[in-house]
Formats: sequence, structure tokens, C-alpha cells
Amino acid sequence: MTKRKERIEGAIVLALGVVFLILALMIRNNPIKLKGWVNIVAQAKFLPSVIAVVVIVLGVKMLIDAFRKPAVSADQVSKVKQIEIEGVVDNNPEDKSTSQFEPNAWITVLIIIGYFALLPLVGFRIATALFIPCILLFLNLKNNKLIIIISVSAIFYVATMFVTPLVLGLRIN
Amino acid sequence: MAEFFSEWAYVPVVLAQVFSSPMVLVYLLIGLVLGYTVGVIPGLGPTMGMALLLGIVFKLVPLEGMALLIGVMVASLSSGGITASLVNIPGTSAAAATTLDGYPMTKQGKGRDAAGLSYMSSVIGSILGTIFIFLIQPFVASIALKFGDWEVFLFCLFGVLICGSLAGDKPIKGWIAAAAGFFLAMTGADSVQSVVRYTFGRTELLSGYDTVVAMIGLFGMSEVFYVLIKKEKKMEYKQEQGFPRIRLDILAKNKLNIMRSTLVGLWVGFIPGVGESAACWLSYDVAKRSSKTKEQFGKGNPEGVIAAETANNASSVGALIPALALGVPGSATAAIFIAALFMMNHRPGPTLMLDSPGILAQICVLFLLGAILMIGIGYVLTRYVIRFLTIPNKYLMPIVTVFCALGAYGSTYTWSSVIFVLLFGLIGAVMKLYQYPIAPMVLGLLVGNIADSSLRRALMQYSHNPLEMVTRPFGIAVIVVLVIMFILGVKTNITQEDVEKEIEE
Repeated sequence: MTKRKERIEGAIVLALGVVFLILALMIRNNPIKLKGWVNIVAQAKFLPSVIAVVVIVLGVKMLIDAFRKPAVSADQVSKVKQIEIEGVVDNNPEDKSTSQFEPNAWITVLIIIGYFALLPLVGFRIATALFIPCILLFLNLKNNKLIIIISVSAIFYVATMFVTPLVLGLRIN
Repeated sequence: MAEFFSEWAYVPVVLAQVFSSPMVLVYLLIGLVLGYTVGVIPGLGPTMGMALLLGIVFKLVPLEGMALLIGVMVASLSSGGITASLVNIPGTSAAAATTLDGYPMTKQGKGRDAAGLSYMSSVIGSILGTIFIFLIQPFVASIALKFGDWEVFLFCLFGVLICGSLAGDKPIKGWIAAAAGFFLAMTGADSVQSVVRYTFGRTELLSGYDTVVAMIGLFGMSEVFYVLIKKEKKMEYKQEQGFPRIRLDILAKNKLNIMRSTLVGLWVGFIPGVGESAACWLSYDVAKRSSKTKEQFGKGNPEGVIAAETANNASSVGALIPALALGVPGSATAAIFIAALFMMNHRPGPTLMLDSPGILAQICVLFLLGAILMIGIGYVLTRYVIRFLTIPNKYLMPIVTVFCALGAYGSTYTWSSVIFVLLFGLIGAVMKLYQYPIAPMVLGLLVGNIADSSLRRALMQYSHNPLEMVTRPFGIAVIVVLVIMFILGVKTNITQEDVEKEIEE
């Protein structure tokens, strides 16, 4: 990760901590009061506030580390990126060059979000009937094997919408 | 006290229960096959498999649901090492160390030996680990019963603290994830004085986030997003034809290695938050240091495969010790397991064995049966199920998405759960992309509320003299033990990193 990215990450964590703290301080006081300083520590907002402060401290630490870190060469950055994306331990160095982000990844994510948004509106049966062929078609555009996609969609639909609910007694519409 | 030790007497009753109800065995078998499958497919793994099943286990009879989950847990950790050995890709992170010697064995034409040793070591690790916790758990529970609210708070706090080690070389990320989980856990009306927190006026948040929904989102949906965002690697594999070869002679020569690896696995599992992946590395390192053929490690030494695989399964069992005795999970799989126990109306914690007599015997018998059945299942399926590796994730992930939605909806029958599963999935995916570990967040989610209510109840109890609470002899002893555990946990992690660095070099 580059210095700039690490600084942004630190700033985001710091901002998150501040949001946590604001939200924690907005919690109302306990209805039953205790005597002395224990009343402060036993408040419902006490632990959330402590956690928010911890996140702020960690954010500050990340920022300080990012500012102190020596500059990294572009070559080193690309190597680190490849390892980060890999996600699994792999001892074959030649395999690492093949790993990258999927170009249409964000459209895939949007299709999935659309499916979840559609579920409360039209129910499982209709939303899933639209989602499975849509996403399979999109993910396999290059392959263009329409028969396989239709067959797989049909099998997935029957398995998820009829067999699974029947076996488990799930009530879906 | 005697009630705890009477758990040992429940074994015949539980065996009769299991064998008189064929459906328990059927669900155990289904769990094993499912677990085997998710274990061999990189990107799925035990946490995702178990999280997906959470949405359905509450529909089953408790013993059947438990059998299903235990089946997945035992088999997925056992089969992860098979792909690690045969194609150099660990099916689960817990099998990462298995690649070091398993794959070189395959390259030497001993793939069938490597696969056989890998899953048989896992089976042995599960069996020995289960026997150990069956014997030790009553003692642990009898000590845990002496815990007051203050000690429970301390244990939760240290569990979250040690989570930093899950983030590898960046413990800060682990702590941030745990703090975020802790923060989210406090959503809803608190259990001490019913003060409402972070609901933003939404009534569906009054009882907080459903842990099952959160886990399906964090482990299931996040993986879907992550896998689909990543460019898929083309997988080539050359598998030796035939069933795996079980080399009992090699296993017999490694008796000491197996015992040592089991103990290492149990120890790592017992430390909250460290998990199975650390167990395999530490055990591999210990085996290498103690071996007479150190120079053969990394070049196809069966001792390495045995050490890594025995430890990761023993660790998954060891993680159940704090989970069952205190309700603080030792690993992500244990976190899912205790969430499932809650759904089955059991309350993991010091009183678990008093409230649900026979529960330890049920868990241990199912673990043992699962491990024994895994011998046959692993033998048969290794030849065929490895072909699942060739199924592109593009076909698998859409169905996993639908199962996540079904599981979330089925656990509460509310549409808000479906929205929450998506939100947790997106949070999890962002965390994975920026290398924030998910397990500490789940741990924070699970123990956050317990820690908060325990601290506040303890303070109210000792409001006249809080110093008395801090200086309780039992509390001080717990602090000492936890500090030692913290130091050892951090050391364990440092050792794991050293081994990984050494191997990279």
C-alpha cells in the first residue's frame, strides 16, 4: 500500500472513531443513578465512548505511521499489490501475476445489491427468477454458452426456491 | 461441582439417542459431505459453510442441527489439506502450512500418500482433541462457575485484545475490526437499564443485530463480493488416479509428532481469537524444530503434513473450551457454533452444563462419530470431489448469494434481515479488500454486549466500594492468567509470522 493510501486509510479510521464518539455521546443517561464516580462508569454510553476513543487513537497511530513511513518504489508497490489481491498462500511465484481485479466487478456488485433491494418488493420467487439468469449471463458474456446458462439457472432456481424450502420447511413467497 | 462430572456418564445415553434416531446420523453425513465440498473449494471454507447453515439449523431438531454443523466443521477442516497437497492451493486458511510439504510430495509422485496422510492426520487431531476436551471441560466449567461479572468482563476484554494477533503483521487492523464489532454489538436496548443505543428510531434495531444474520453477511456475502471482484485464476491440476493411500506405517512412526501437534492445536484453540490458521503454522514450526530430518521440511516431508493437519483440527476443538465454558469463542468456527447453540436454546457459559445436562457428551460424541465417518467419506470423495475445483466461481457465487438471502430471511422472517445481510456483506468485502480480519469483528459482535452488561452489573454490585471488585482474589488470578495468555498469544503469532517469513525467504 502506498503512503498516500495509508494516510487516507488512517484518516478514514480517525473519522470513523469521531463518528463513533459523537454517536456514543448522544446516548441518553441511565434512568437509575448511582452514587459517586461509579455513576459515570456505569452509564450505557461509557463503554461505547471508550471504544470510540480507542478507534480514534488507532486512527492517529495509523496516520503517524503513514507519515513516518519511507517512500516505496513503484516496483515494490506493484509486488505488494499482487500479494494483497492474492488472498491465499501460494508458493508459486509465477501464478501471482495472473491475479487482478475483475473489470466489471462493480456491475456485478450492483446486480447483487439490486437483487437484495428487489426482494422485499416482489418476494423471493420473482426476484430470484430474474437474478440468477441475469448474473450468470453477465458473468459469462464471453463464453456465450446460452444453453448451459439457461440449464444452470433452471437447476439453481429449482434447488433454491423449491427443494431447499421444502426440505427445511422455510416459508417463502 | 458433581453435576459437571456427571457429564461423563451421559455418553451411553447420547450414543443411544444418536443410534436410535437415524436422522441424526443422516444429518451428520450430510454435514460431512457438505463440509468436505466447501473445504476443497478455495474461497468457501468452514466459516462460510457453517454460517450459511445457521439460517437453517434452527428448523431442525437440536441434535440433528448440531450434527449438521459438527459434520461441516470436522470435514471442512480435514479436506482443506487435500487441495493444499494436491494442487498447492489450501482449501481453507487453516491448511496453508500443509502446502509446504504436501505439494512437494505430490510433485514426487506421492499425491495419494499426501492426500491420505492429510485427511487421516486431521481425523486423528479431531479424535484426540475431542477426548481431551471431554475430560478437561468439566474442570474448566467448574472454575468458570466461580466467575463473577467482573471476571467475565475481563475475559471478554482480553479476547478482543488478543484479536489483534489475527491481523498478522498489522495488529491495529485486528483491533479496529474488534472495536467496530464491539460498537455494533451495543445496538438496541441494553440489558441493564434498557437504554436505547444506535437504533436511529428503527424499531427493528431495538433487539440489536441478529448475530446469525451478521455472520451470514460477514462470512458468506462478503466472500461472494470478494470472489466476484477478484479476477479468477485459471486452475490447472494433475491428479493422480485412484483413491488416497492411508499410510498407517508413517502415522505410527509419527506418534510423538501427532501428540505434540494435538497439544499445540488445543493450546492455540484455547486462546480466544487466535484460530486454526495460526495453529497449523505453529505446529509446523514445532515439528520442524523437533525433527531429526529438519532439512527435509519443505521438500515433501510427511512429518510437516501430519503436524499441520493434526493441529488445525485439534485447534477447532480446542476453541470450544472457552466457547462452552464462558461463551467466548476461541475461533470464527467456534463463534458460529455458539451462535447455533443459542438458537437451539442452550446458553454457552459457566452454567451450560447445569442448564443443559448431557450437552458436552452430545457435542463430543458427534465430533468423534464425525471424525470416524470422515475416514470413509474422505477415502471415497477424495477421488471425485476434487473435480469441484474446476467449477468456476462465476457459477457458484450466484447460488451462494441466494442461499445467504434465504438463510437470513429464514432466521427471522423479516425483510430487514435481508437488508442487514447485504450491509454486513458489503462491510465484510471492504474489510477483506483492505486486509482487515473479519473474525475479530465477529468476536466483538458476540462478546460486546456481554462485556458491557457484565461491567455495568459488576459496578452496580460494588458501587459502594469498586476497589473491592478489582481486588477480588479470583479476579486478580484471572487477570494474571489472562495477561500470561495475552503474552503467549502474541508470542504464538510472532512465531507464526517468523515461520511464514522464513519460508518465503
